[in-house]
Amino acid sequence: MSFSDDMKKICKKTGDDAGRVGRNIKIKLFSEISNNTTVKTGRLRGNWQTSTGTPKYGIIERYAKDGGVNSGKEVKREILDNVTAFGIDYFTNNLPYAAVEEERKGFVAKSIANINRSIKEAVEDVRDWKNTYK
Amino acid sequence: MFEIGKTLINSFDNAEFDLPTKTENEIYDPVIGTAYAELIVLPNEKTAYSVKHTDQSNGIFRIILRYPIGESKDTIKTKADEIFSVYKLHSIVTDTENNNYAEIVKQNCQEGVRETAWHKLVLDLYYQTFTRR
Repeated sequence: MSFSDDMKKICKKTGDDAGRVGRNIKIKLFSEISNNTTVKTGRLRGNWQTSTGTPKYGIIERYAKDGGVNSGKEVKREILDNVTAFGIDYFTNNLPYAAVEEERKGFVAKSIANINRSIKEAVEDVRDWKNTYK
Repeated sequence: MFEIGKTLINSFDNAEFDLPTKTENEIYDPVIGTAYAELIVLPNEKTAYSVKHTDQSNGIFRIILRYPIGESKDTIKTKADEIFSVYKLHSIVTDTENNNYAEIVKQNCQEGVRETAWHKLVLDLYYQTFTRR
């Protein structure tokens, strides 16, 4: 059984829209990874890039701890702009030391450990949204 | 939140895997040619499970195995299997003295890589825990 089958099952139970729930889960997961990422200069967090269909392979300079750009906010905006309901979305960080930091701090692994809670929250968010606007 | 880390690390030491271990903030100088395991516990935040008396958390018990480059890759894989067989899915790691326990809910092994003089294999044991408030 695939992930989308599982999603449909969850949505059938809750009466929610599969696409909206799926997109919400991806947003929550990506945002949590970004939030868990260690911040020293902001460069590591700022290098999380969201794309659909193919992953990004470059490094970008999106950091400034005290300067004009808040890397976390920029990353969040990109997540919201790019994450799709049914597409294959990638969240990549190509800085050479990202893997070393991940090994020590586990910002991706910890977020995956929390995926059940993210799914629950995503379903609840969509349910609240539907209750508010229907 | 951090008690469970001690419980997991103690359980590894008690299981006698015959490997020197390195834990966070512990000074350990790796000896060239001698395999060792680095133990890291990565807890997520604690949240309320029930209104009255139970909290829940989850996280990862990360075991990084480093074996000398010259050794057979089978040796490190055998050790990984040995560790996974101790921390079976749904097995409970307990510390009865402090009333802590963690349930292993997922096992994961990342692809082995070469790192200077070592062949490295990262094992992840995902756990969940419920604690009395």
